[in-house]
Amino acid sequence: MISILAIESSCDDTCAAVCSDAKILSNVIANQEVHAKYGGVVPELASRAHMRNIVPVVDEALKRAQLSLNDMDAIAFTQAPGLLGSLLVGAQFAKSLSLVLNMPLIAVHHMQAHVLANLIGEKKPSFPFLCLTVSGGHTQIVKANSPLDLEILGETLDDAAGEAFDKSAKLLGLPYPGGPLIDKYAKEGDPLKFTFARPLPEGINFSFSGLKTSVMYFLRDAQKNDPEFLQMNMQDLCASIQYTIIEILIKKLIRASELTGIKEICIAGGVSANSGLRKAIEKTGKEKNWNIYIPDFQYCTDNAAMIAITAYYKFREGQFASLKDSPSARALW
Amino acid sequence: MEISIHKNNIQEAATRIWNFAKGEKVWAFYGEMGAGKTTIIKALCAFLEVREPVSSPTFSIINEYQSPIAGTLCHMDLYRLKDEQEAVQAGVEDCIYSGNYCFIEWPEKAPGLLPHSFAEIKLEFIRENERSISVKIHH
Repeated sequence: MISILAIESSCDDTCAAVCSDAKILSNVIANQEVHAKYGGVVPELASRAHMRNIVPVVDEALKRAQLSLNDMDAIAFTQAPGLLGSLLVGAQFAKSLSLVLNMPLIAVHHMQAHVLANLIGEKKPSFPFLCLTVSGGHTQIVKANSPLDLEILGETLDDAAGEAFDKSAKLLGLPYPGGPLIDKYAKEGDPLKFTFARPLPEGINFSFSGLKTSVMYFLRDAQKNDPEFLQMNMQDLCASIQYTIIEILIKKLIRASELTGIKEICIAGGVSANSGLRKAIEKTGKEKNWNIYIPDFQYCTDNAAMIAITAYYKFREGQFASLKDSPSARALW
Repeated sequence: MEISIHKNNIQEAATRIWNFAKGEKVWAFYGEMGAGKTTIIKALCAFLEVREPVSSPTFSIINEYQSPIAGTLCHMDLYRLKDEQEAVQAGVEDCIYSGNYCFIEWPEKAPGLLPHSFAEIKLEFIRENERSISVKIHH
């Protein structure tokens, strides 16, 4: 039995988890609500809050797992990508523990961990599978040949899908984080009421920057003629914007499945909480005979359980890090 | 230098802007959301033969690319930052004074961090797919 303590601090949540083999024993997340009033994640606040949170979060994770530090076989941390100040807090904490406890250290790539979150739980995809990872900073379609053999088939050429949600929300005058609010209003709106630009670059890559610009010009013109336009059409606007973003994601996922012949389809990342996206994927899955896998919500947003499961597979392959391995804001895969 | 560009001749415009402003290491890109800041930076990076994907750093704040022509390039976006102090904490100042080329979106969030000498690039909307760009060197 291999027990691992994993720490994730790449962005605005401080997270710790404990696994025994591939089973997650605890998954603790300390959310930093302080960011909402600034309209985004504030790096300095983030790293200060990580420092404040990390000890109680790790303690809580061990307590819930009913294990102690000495029961661990390795310490894992998120190495990249993320906000450097935030990553450093988790990395230094993990390194210190590894040094003091004389335990191996495992460095995990955050985006790889999002994909492997699909290996947590009973219903697992079989290899090879495709994973659409969608979050505030990332949009990728990854082909997983085995737990540690992942291949990026396509990614965004400009803005991430989550950024498209958040920036559109800002244009609509909605508070941060705007994605969940768009999802909420979209449920009562007509997705076909307004049409926005739908940039579809070649292959499996994504582009969302043109959509944001198109929303902006549309709102500018509409408000010139009718200052009440936003308030009067909020639901339809949200539904139409959400529909457009999801359509782009689904089209590329279908293309990736056709190109690879793979029908094991997973989603991951914070945007996978979007109810419109979940419905659209399930509907497409039925039409295309896909097997769809969506991790529990707690494993979709940033969390340490996904770091723990990835570390477990790295442990089995003997992929350990040294104290010299430093975090990086933007490591290549 | 003032030019108006259409989406179709953006590469040509990027070449002209590079030749005009390459003497400056720090480039500040001004323009409202959707004005095309990331788009023109992508075109500049394409001209500079950057191989990695050049994507919006709104979330990551600082992206770093390698160019065989310009060396290490920092692509920054201060959109999510509140003030200069936060920009310093995020490592923006370190990049600006690293001697590497720096392309900065939303520099107005931390105007005090700009060096004495820099290139000011202003993007303005004319109509869909058309923008005017003015480039001014501050000494």
